[in-house]
Amino acid sequence: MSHPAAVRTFADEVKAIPGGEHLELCYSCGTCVSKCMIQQKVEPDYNPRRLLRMVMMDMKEEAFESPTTWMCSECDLCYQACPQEIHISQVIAAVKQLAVDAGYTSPLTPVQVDEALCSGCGICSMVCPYQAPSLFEKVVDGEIDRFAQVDSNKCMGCGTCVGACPLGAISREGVSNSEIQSQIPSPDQTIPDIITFVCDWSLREGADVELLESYPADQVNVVHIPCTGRIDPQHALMALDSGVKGVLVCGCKPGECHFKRGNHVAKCKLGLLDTMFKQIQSPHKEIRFVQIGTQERGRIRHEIDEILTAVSPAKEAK
Amino acid sequence: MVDAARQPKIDVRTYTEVESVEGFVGNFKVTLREKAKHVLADRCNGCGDCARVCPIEVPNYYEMNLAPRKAVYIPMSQSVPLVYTVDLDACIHCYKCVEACGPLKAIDFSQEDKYVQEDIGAIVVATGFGHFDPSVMEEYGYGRFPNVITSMEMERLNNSAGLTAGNLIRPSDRKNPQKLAFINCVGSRDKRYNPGCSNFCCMYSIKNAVLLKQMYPNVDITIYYMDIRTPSKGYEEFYDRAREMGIHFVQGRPSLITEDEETHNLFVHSEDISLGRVIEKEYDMVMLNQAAVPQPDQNHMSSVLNVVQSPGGWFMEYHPKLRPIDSPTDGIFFAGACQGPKDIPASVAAGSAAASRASRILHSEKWEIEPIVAVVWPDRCSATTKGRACGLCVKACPYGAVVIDGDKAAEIITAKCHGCGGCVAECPEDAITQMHYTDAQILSQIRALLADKPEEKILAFRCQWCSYGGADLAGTSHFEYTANERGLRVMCSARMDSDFIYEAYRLGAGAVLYSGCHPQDCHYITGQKVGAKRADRLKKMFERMNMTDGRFRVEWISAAEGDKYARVLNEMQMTLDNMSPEELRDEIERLKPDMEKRLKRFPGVPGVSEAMDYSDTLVDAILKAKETS
Amino acid sequence: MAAEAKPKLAFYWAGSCGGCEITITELGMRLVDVSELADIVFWPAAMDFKYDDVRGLADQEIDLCFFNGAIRNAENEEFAHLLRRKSKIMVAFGSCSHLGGIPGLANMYDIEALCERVFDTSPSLDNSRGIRPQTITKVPEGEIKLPPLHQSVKHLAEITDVDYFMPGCPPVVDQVWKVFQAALNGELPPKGSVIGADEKSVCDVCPREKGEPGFRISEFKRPHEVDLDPDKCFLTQGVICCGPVTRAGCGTPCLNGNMPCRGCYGPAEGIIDQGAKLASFIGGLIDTDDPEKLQSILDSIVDPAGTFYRFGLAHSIISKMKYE
Repeated sequence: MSHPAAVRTFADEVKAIPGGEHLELCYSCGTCVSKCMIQQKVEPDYNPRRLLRMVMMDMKEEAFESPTTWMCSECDLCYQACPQEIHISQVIAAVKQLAVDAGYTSPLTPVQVDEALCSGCGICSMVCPYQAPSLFEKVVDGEIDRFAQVDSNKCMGCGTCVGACPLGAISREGVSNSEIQSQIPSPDQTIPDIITFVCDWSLREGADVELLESYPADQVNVVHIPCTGRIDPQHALMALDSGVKGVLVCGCKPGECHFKRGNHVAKCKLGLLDTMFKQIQSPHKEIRFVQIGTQERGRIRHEIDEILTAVSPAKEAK
Repeated sequence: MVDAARQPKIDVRTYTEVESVEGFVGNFKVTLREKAKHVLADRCNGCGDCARVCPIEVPNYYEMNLAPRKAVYIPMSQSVPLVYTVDLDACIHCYKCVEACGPLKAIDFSQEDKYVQEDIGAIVVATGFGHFDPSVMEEYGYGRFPNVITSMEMERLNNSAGLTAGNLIRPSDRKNPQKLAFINCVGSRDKRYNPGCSNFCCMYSIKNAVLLKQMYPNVDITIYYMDIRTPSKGYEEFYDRAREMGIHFVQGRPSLITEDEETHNLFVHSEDISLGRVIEKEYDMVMLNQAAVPQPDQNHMSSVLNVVQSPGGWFMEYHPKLRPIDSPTDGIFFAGACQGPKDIPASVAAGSAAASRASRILHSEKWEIEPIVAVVWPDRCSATTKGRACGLCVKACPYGAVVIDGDKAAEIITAKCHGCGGCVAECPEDAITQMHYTDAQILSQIRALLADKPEEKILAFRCQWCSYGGADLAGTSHFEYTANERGLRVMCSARMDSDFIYEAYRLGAGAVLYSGCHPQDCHYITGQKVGAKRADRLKKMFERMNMTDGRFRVEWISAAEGDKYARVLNEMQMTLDNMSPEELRDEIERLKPDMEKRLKRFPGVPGVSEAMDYSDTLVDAILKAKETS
Repeated sequence: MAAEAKPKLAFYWAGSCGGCEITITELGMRLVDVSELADIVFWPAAMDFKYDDVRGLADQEIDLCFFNGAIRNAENEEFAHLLRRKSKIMVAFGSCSHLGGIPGLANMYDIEALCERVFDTSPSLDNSRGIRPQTITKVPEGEIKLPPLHQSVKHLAEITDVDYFMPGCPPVVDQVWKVFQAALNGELPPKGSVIGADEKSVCDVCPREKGEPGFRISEFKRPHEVDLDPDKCFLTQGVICCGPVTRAGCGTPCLNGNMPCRGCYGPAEGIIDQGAKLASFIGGLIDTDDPEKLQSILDSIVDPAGTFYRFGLAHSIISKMKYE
């Protein structure tokens, strides 16, 4: 008996990339889809299970165009939850690699470098969880100068580089220093009791997100950031300097960061700030970092109430 | 149960553990530990006065620890026999029970555990299954969220004889829940915990849903499932009925349960696969359909009974299709879910089958076994020649069928021997042979198979149960593989003696395949391990001899892997094709002296030199060996 | 009359080590050029002037005043105010008057603890009689007065209006010369600018090889604990370098000496709080692969406040909050 040679399918291509191997173990239980918050928060068409299906069913173009291919930030919450132990983010990364090779580009808005400000220190490229920025050299005024550049297919928009860049040279709309600083009240504005910097992913949709908006302006001012990795201790200090009595930074539980490491980065930054406060024996310190897990429904209310009570014991906590 | 207790030919021993099982089919000696109840069974009338006065309360395991019991207790009202037991771990020795018992004098604190030995002809194992503890799956919050319960807890909560008299309440506030979610496959079909399907949970959760819906028509029940499996007669119709009753089925495995800390209501986060959308629904109570797992002491029982466990820990049957009730040890049978998750009809069928298999033994004067057993030549055993038995045969035997008594030569308990041949191949003195698989017989086959142009041949050693089946399947499936393969069957890879491999290479074989079962499939409990260890040694040795990689190959191939068998053989053929005839001949010649050196003692094995001369004395040698043993 | 036409220069040292004054002397022969072009009317470090000479000047009589040193005591403050009044242009000269400088590190402790350390418990001191300097001491000849210490160290701009800031500990001499020339030629930038320095950070001019993308630090070391590779970024060798947040313009003498930047030129353009921004990128560089180890990595940073705010503590928001 002789058979025609096997056709190399899309699934074969994905499986050939390390990480893509166990693709076909998927039995479409949907755990990954509901574990991930992208569908509920950002993109209704986001669905890892379907992407895996598209790969298996040889739907190459659809897979390359699917938002799932581009929006997975490799947090691996789904990997931990997958009953088939499929490393889904790696499968998606394999699809993305093939898509990039085929000339597709990411629909996300990447950070951009302002070369007028960039000193070429390379810190953005070191701190990025995705290694999206890198340094390159070019001749400026007859001299070789170094600048950062960003691979827009790699950037997931967490803003960790923005928080780290010393000179404010790397940024994107929504996370820039000026946008965040504009949300810190100036003396002529109402000074709230606390400012809370909330990572977009630390609270599940629903009651907890609504709760944040329910506090009066003189009590809680909410600054939304894509990830606590974006936190700049300067902003926390500026907030306190403005007359705010407390700063609450709300991020994800260890192991649950949407951008791999932003919550740990925030912990380090704020840990250093805390040490410095202690060294300087500065008493006016009420900067708190809370890390809320996906299962901790309602915890944000307690955290806000607690810090409100701490900063203004006289005022009745909401 | 009551009937069984009343039947004079059935002796029910409760609160009793099997300590050890010795002997063999028809002749087991079983030691039982009858644990002290501290209540005299012949005096206790089950009135319960003792329990009424007992001041101590501990969680009642039978009620899934949802309700208390006393330190002197019966596990449930239908207990057979109806005799109370004092739980000494909980008892404070106030002796109020003794007082309450009064003139009956049934309570006896001086009672001790009793060890009894019984002669048993056949054993039926019906130890059942255990429950997966869902508290390890943090995402479902069991143990932290009061209203997340297990299916077994639900079983007690909606049982009319249970702690609530069938009134379904939720733990946090004892109110009747209105919205319920059932989650299937909790800990089953999950590679992190139990990869297998628990078999009966689909039907079981539908049953619970239907029962509740009948009792409380207004409750809203949603069953979250990955696949609904209704493989038996009438099951699918039952599933239809449940849907028509208004029970919701959501295809989608929940990834998370969160709780409202004030109401203790629960939110189930899941994808609704039919919608392709993530849904988050609020419920009063969630039931987790926990996986069926082996009993916590299954490993212990496995060593007491000397039966094997399948991957996952269940007891393993002799053959999954042809002898599904028999254990690999003659005279021991399985009934019910100790062997793997089974629903009630399947368990009853297995129980009936086990009973009938057992009764065959009990009704027989003689019991026939396969004649392929091992036989010792006592004069060759190191106990005789060196004054000390090396014991390798004892180590190799998966059944404990080889015994060494003091300085006497090794002996085979024939009734226990299953004929894997591990001891035969392992014996460094060549003092053991296997009926119908003697060295001489196998040698003759090797010689015949390699008689013509041996350098072109691939000699494949296959085990009876797996790789032989694999080769068979490759043939029946018409998978093409090299015509240079020459197959040779033994019972188990444990029998694949190093001498056979050396002899094959000495004769100039092109390549040799050493194949058997995957470790978990071995038909002889641990026979494959004995074979694998030896294969490993050989492989390293040939590497040191600089034998071309691929000329000796070790592969574990199941009876279902015909494609693999064909692929391996083709790869081996490719190895040979990649060598020039001169290269191959040179290598064969180079290694030959080494092989000869290793085979120096081989002709000394009874029958072998004769076989080498194609002599007729072969049969005589075996008969002679048989006489001496 | 020619002398009257010459602009008047003043130099003063408040709470400082004197290094900034030495920088000016390092102008060497160029000082002769300066004295040709301008009159030095006050320079207590180099010439014999009395405080009353300054008091005797008319307001705004001094054209350009270089004020170095932090504001540690009442005398420093008094002279800051006095010189401000007498000067047209007031330059905070050097790290101490720009940011508080090294003396500003004293803001980590309250004044009592400082005095106890300095006068009682310092290991190099024998003060068994427990003598403490007094602001007023009576002696047969009358009263000796010492200026009282302030509760905290302040930088110049905190107490008075400053026209320009010239960073450095000390400012490098070539930059000083350039500033002189610009000032005497009337080419100074708008008021409030930092002069004698660049806008971007030290990294912009540092030729060292930067870290690979994804490089992370798993242990911090102090410069003396490492055999430093002169061609590689200090951060990639686990050594804290203030270069990324620090204004360039110093000519990188530290880097040339294979030492990390200490941050004396103060925050680069756009940075509000030098130490906080340092914490911000150092936090990002820490190896987070094993979250259990984060604390021990952080703990390997010796004296973060003293390292991140080596020159800028008195200028920091944390210090400001403490003494508000």
